Amino acid sequence: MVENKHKVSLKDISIFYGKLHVVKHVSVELPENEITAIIGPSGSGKSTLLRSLNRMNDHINGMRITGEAMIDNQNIYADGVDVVMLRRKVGMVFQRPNPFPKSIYENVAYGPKLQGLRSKAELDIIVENSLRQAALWDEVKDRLHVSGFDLSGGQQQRLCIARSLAVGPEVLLMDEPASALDPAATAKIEELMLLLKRTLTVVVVTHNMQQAARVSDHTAFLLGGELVEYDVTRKIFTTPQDKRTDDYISGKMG
Amino acid sequence: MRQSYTLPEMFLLGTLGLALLLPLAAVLYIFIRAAAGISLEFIFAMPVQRGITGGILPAIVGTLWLLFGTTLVVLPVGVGAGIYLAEFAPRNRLTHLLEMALINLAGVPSVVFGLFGYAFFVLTLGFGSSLLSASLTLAIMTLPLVVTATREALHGVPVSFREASLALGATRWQAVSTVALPCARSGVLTGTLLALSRAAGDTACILITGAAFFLPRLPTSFMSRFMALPYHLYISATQLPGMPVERIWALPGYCCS
Ligand SMILES: Nc1ncnc2c1ncn2[C@@H]1O[C@H](COP(=O)(O)OP(=O)(O)O)[C@@H](O)[C@H]1O
Ligand SMILES: [Mg+2]
Repeated sequence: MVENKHKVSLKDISIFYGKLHVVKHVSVELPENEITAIIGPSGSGKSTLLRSLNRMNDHINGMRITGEAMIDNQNIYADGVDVVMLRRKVGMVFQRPNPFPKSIYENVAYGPKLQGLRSKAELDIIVENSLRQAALWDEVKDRLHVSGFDLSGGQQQRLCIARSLAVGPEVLLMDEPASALDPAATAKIEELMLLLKRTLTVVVVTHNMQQAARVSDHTAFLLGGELVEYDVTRKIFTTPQDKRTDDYISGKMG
Repeated sequence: MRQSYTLPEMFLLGTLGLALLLPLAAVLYIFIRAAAGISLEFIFAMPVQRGITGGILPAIVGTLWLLFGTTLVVLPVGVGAGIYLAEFAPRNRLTHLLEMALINLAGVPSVVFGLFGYAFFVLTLGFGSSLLSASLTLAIMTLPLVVTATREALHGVPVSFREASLALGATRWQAVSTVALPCARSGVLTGTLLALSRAAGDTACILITGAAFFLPRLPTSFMSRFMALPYHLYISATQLPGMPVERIWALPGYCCS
């Protein structure tokens, strides 16, 4: 297997909330067009690490980050980096589906409109393409103008994915995207992730180890803010090198 | 379903009954008493004889002007300040102090603002007794209410909407203007309307900043003196011997409708 080139590379990343040291000296490189799963017990810093990749942590009072976070060989925390541009390139899907209280169409068109796109024809194309990419088009094409809230939970989450895709990201961060969904809806999201990695680099946080094993190419195991082990997913789940990884995946921990 | 209420529950239910019935009875009572004095002429004619006969048109128009002037100031300033506090102010002690101050200012008796308005707008700035002075005074009185209502309405908008917006590449202002504010709109409007209804019913503020007790013509500019409903009622009810009683009852009928 040929290794893909690295899309994201973290060098000695530490993240603090005030005095609390939440992510500790994490160094890791994430390959392009792959799904990387971040697993670990709750409170181990998975979300914090994920949110450092699109600088969503910037909005938290007292957050401090040290080390280097490179995307396409550019340090996203360097002076003069435009956070708005960064977030167009690095999209995010949250744990609970959070469509805006707007129509399905307006939800997907929101990002492009922020960038000043006004042409109805162009927006129509982006909305359709994004919904197709998120495997939602066939279910909603006849009711694009009903509220996003009228959809089921799983559909809402795919709407949120479509909304992210409409901005044209190269990396998609997903924070436990299926934890609020039933198994059928979860399966759909997982299928979708496998489609998305053809064009995107996906980083997914999950506390569901079967999910990590099913969809991801690489897996990172975080414990107490430390990156205990990072490897090809199959190896993590069959021949983990660290005793703590073994304990965690075999259910002897949290 | 429930077999019986305990004593405290019965007491609370009783208070709810009172809380509903008493205000409702007051409003109904006024409307019924007002019916006798209300006529088209009463609404659309000029007052005659210090208001003992004729209509109350100038008082209605005066109150509308006042509300218009107050809204013009309080809506942009109050909503703007509320947005700043909720969305942009650093979360520190100073901000917290400011928010507490605003909440307490909302409880200051209106006569205090009235006296300030008289000293500052009427005398110092030389606006004289006028709609301008009175509107500005009412605006100051209602600002804390509007700021606080806006702030609370924005605090009620789920963080997840803001995060979604920011994650799509919105600036903080875009996240506020395209998501948070539209979600908070009804709360902001309700708060503003409550504040304006307080302004509409206030006598103490306008008494010394521009309201006239008998002025049988309509205001022509913001520099005019004016009649207003609550002040007219106050004068009619307390200062005018020989005022027909049904005319007095008719007045609050308008104030609350
Ligand atoms: N906004 C915040 N302010 C302060 N501490 C936080 C904040 N968010 C998370 N934490 C703390 O950081 C640690 C890691 O949290 P998080 O990254 O959410 O972990 P995970 O996603 O693995 O459950 C936890 O101890 C949590 O309490
Ligand atoms: Mg988390």
